[in-house]
Amino acid sequence: MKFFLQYIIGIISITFIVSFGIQYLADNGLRNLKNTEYNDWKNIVDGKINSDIIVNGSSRSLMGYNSQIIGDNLKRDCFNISFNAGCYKLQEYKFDIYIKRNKKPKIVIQNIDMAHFGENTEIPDIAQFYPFVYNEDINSLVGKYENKFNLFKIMPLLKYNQSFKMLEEGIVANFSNATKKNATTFKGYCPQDRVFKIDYHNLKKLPQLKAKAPNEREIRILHKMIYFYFSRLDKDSKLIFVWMPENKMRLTKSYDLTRQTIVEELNSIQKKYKNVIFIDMAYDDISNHDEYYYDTFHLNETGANLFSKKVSLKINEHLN
Amino acid sequence: MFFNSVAFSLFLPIVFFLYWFVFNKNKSTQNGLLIIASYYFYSCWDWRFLFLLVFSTFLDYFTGIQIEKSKSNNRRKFWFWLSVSVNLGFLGVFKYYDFFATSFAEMLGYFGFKVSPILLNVILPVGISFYTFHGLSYVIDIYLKRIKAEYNFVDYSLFVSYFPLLVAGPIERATHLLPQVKIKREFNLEKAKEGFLQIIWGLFKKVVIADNCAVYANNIFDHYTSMDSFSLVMGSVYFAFQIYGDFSGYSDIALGVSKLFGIDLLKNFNYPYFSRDIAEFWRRWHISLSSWFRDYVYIPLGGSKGSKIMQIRNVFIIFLLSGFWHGANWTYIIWGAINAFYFLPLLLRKTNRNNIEQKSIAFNFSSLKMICSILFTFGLTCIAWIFFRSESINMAIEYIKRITLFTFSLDSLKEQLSYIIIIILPYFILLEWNNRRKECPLFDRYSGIKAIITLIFILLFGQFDIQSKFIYFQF
Repeated sequence: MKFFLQYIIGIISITFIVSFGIQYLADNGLRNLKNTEYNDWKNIVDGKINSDIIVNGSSRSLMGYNSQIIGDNLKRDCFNISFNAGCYKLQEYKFDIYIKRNKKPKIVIQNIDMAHFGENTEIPDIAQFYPFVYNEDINSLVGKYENKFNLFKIMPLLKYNQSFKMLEEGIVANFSNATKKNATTFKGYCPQDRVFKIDYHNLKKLPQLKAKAPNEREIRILHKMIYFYFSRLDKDSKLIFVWMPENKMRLTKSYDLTRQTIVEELNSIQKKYKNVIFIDMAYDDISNHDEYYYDTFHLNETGANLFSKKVSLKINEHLN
Repeated sequence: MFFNSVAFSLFLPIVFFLYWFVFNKNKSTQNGLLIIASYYFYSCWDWRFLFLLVFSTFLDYFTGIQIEKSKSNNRRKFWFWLSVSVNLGFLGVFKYYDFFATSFAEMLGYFGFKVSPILLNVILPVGISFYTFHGLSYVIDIYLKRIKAEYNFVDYSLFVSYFPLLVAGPIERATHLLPQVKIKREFNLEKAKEGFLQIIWGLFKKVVIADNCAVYANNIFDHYTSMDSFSLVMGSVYFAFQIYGDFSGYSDIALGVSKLFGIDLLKNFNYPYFSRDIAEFWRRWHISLSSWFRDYVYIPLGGSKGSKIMQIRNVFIIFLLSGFWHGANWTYIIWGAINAFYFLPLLLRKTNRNNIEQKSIAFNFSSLKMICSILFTFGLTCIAWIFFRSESINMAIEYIKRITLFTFSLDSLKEQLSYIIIIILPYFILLEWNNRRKECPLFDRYSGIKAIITLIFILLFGQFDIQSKFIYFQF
């Protein structure tokens, strides 16, 4: 019996050692794979970003704010920490992780839209966190939404279950120059080189938004967010809310009615606090051009570049 | 409690340690523990059906003794038929009643009589087909004076309800299992090691092969009307691997678990997809069921003796019964009939026992012929599986019709192949082929390395999100 138990323990131990070894290689490779969300997370948790300007928001902001263009125009370093498919809470968690390890930004550009006020019931794109299961900060964030992360700590390779390509990419990255061929992010910004296609599933959601004015819940969240940033930023820091150009197909009467109360609230907040700025570009000319979008919700790379130029000029006006 | 569940991964070590460290004084304590564990295991499915299992155990135990004790032939016959009819009665009510009632109503409908059958709509007690056949073989063997009746109720109960084989076989024989439960089991290191390796291999077959192939097979069969011929062919191949991985994976885990307790179960699969003809396939596929039908139906009917017509009749009976055993649906019966048609030419030409010996492969014409035979036999089984998997005969016919349109698109090739399939299926086939003379491919040389690679594959490619049932549980 003793030998049998030794045999089982032996097989399982070697399996674990080999698996942890493979996992380590994959994790390490992914974390160092430049221009990827993994590398962005690594730089965030390692405190290597320290930008003066931070862009925060959801997927629209992730794909719409070109940090390089904004940074160049404002003559400061800019980084985009937006959370793909992440609503306000996830954006705040990410910001908290950021300032825990990096210096406080002088300017925060917070993208705002109706999707911002949603509630995430699960963590979107959980694979971005796979190389960080042993990171305390990321664990506390993901642990709020996903229990299996604890299992990933003790069961090697399980996180790469059915994700062989990701594992392969990570392992290979250790032995190459660790630069992704088709880069996905640049200073956190995630350009989309795609042509316009109507996303009916997103458009269908629009009628659900109507007749909710005066949007008490959203306004409450908005105030909480102001408080959130005030409590974390220096007094001389600027908090800039930006409403990106909405595609013309989304700008229906009912949508605008719902949007209006939030816009009014943001305008009154702007009047109340001198370090809060609100830039409403929902009806910017970009809205009328489908060629600047890849769906009715998100700007494509061309649109993002144009918008980033426009928004940085507007920010400059306000700052000066 | 599935073999691939977290609950079972806790249950098994607990029972294992209690068995070898606490209840190992004598065979009675060992058997007592295994019965408690088995009843607990079964009650995890549905505790209400535990009564059915206990009743079935009592019935066969009691009638077995009565058959042996009876002096007159009539009394022996009475007890024998009582056991057979009650056992088959339960099976009939729970498994087949609704099918017969619906089919009868449909038949009357063809003649213009509208009848609404009264259906029971009862849940099929898990494993009923397996433990009923278990009990039946015991009673038949006593009646035919092949074995003595078992007087120790604990030993007999364990024979019927032993948890590794309780819900999906293999269908054990009293001549094989009872002698093992009647003696105290001593720990055997080699057997335990084999058991452990067989569990790993069974788990790999289930969660990696079967469950990954199931994703593709289900998608293709569910959307067969919009698929091209290539995809439909792939669908039947995926299903072939799914059902093999699922059922033989379960059997491997059952055999492996049982070896941990020092008990050998009957081998249920012997690399069936390497068969060179259908007769060989049926000697290698679900061996415990095939041999059950052979011993208790086919041979008593005359087997391959007698006139050609009798032989044909016997072949059809056994294959149709085998199909019907799988489920109350015409698709299973047609599946059985197709296999009978496959088998008949071999029987009539007396070539059904041509491929008994294992042959090695070499660079010569004979090996090429062998590989072609294997592929041809596999192709035949895949066609039959289409009926097994389809929801109705019409669907199966339509599915095959669409295959014969010979349509193909490059997109479907990409869609029906994934890197997982490209990695795991060759690994699986090569390992099975190279070790086809062994009970389990992980045994013997390099067993440790093979086990570690297989475990890593389970972690990487296993389907854990879907708590998929074993297909044969429904039978």
